Amino acid sequence: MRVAVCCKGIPIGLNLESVHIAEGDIKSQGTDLYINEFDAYALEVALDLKESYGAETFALSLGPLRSQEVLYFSLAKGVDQALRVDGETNRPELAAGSLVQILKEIEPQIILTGVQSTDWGGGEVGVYLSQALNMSLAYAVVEISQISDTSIRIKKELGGGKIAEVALKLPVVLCIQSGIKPLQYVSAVKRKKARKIQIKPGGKLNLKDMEQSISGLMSYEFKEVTLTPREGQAEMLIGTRTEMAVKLLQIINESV
Amino acid sequence: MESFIYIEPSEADIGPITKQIASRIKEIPPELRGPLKGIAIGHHLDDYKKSQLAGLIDELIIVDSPSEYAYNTEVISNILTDIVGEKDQGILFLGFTHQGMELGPVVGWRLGIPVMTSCVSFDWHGKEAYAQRTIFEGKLLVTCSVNMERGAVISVQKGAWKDLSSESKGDLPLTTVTWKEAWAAEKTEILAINEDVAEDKEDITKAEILVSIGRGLGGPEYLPDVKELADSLGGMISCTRPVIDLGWLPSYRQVGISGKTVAPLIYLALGISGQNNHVTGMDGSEIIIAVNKDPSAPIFNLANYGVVDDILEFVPELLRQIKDK
Ligand SMILES: Cc1cc2nc3c(=O)[nH]c(=O)nc-3n(C[C@H](O)[C@H](O)[C@H](O)COP(=O)(O)OP(=O)(O)OC[C@H]3O[C@@H](n4cnc5c(N)ncnc54)[C@H](O)[C@@H]3O)c2cc1C
Ligand SMILES: Nc1ncnc2c1ncn2[C@@H]1O[C@H](COP(=O)(O)O)[C@@H](O)[C@H]1O
Repeated sequence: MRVAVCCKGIPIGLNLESVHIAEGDIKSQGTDLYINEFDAYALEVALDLKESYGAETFALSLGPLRSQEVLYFSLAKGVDQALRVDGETNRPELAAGSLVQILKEIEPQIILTGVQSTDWGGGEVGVYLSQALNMSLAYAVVEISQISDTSIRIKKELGGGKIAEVALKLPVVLCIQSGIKPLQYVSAVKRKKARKIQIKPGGKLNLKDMEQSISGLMSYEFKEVTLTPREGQAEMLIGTRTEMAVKLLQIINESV
Repeated sequence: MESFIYIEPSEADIGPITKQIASRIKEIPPELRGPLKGIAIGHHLDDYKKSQLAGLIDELIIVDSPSEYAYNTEVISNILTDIVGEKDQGILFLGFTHQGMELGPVVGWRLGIPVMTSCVSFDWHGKEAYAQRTIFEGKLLVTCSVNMERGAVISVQKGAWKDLSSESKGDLPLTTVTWKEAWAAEKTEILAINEDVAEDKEDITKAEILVSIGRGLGGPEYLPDVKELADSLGGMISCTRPVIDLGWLPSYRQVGISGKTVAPLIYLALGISGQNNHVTGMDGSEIIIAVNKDPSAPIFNLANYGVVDDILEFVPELLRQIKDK
């Protein structure tokens, strides 16, 4: 069984000044990239499948050179191979379109993604992959209970505390929800060793190769990035810590 | 041009997100949006629910699907793709909910039309619409112009728009669509639906005061202080999802889109950033007080009162003040 896990590198601590629109895309200035939190959970699932089912595991990332850090991290955690698709985009249809090429070569039975990337926050890429590759799909997966040669049983969230138990035909795309497994610590030694492993080239983001399949989806443009407006702005309590604490308790006492 | 809203199944009334979307889209001139049609799939629409939609949408389409397909997103996607794609230029609106996150991109991909997820605003001018969606955990907004000529899928954050629905008005034209075998599931079988039952545990939905903690707490070792604070205020402890994921508290204390919806008198948010998936579960609270060390945390956009401080210092100070009294 082959399992591919998609891991996006996310810039941390961005502000309005470090984000801009260029070449029809949202770009962030040269900050370090860390593994998307939801993808760290997907990675734990991949490693669990390696251990329990002997799965051959592939970590994939589409990103610029500095996104290799995410792949070194996944190698340190124990994936068998890491591949980087060269490019940079926050357009989910472009990201999916680029990842599809390499996934067609790997032919995994299970593709794992996170439920969403925390910078873009849309959750489209995994869903698009399932459509582009004609695979089964489950979103917000919180448990994998059983795998056979042809099918998989999972649990997925429906929202509001409801959980569905679902059987799906393989191959499948599973969009993994946070908390599915505890995140395991990875030692500094392992991290250092992983840096000696080669990250394989997984192709390049090339709009021309996929234009036809996604041109309809691409018919929108980014115009402007702004701060989220403060609508019902909070009344900020000011003063020393003691003064703020006294005022806060007073508000509570007067309200109940 | 036709506009559609996917009406998610709900146990009690029509879900707030359906009413919120319908209220906003109804304000758009009909020459732009065309007729606004609700799509309900399955057997979940009682007469009283239909009456809640009268005046809010122009027509209700009920698709009669077999009961084993309730919650089967493969089947729901098949149906939505067919109905929205039947004529050119179908626009599908749906909630940015668990179902909507899955269904929207499937329908958009299959029809080859633009998909805008997580929208908070939507304005339509001629062939274009301007949609705003949040990025970077709700801190920034990106404005997008969407070409509406061939249709689009627009998913909307819960609570982004106001529900302007009033008492039911007039008749609601109804179309019943009979089941087609072509919609049947080939890949997905729903085996069971389970619910996290509260049993004897503390029920956070009943609390008047919730002391709610987020990842900003830093670790479970600080929980005793929070417990002491909740006890002395006569409240209960609730939390965000990461607090559950990290194993600091059990899942029945989670507030948000995948946890509980609460509406206490006081919601004291400690070290919570205020992302939509959490806010959706608590924005009905009477008074929201947020303490966060980051002055740009989105929670301050919603809260009534805010304190910019380190909760690890501020909570002990609150306890001192309570004891001194
Ligand atoms: C499908 C889906 C469903 C989800 N369902 C839910 C749900 O039901 N409920 C939910 O809560 N989330 C849910 N989430 C996750 C949600 O999107 C956010 O990731 C989550 O709400 C963030 O929680 P947080 O505010 O505790 O953490 P963070 O976003 O990490 O915020 C921590 C905050 O603490 C502040 N802070 C840090 N240290 C301190 C300190 N010492 N003193 C003061 N402030 C400090 C920081 O400034 C920051 O604002 C869901 C996500 C998805 C994709
Ligand atoms: N550039 C990328 N490289 C690898 N995986 C990605 C990339 N972008 C998105 N994904 C995957 O798709 C999921 C959903 O992302 P998004 O649609 O951007 O919210 C993420 O959790 C990742 O698993």
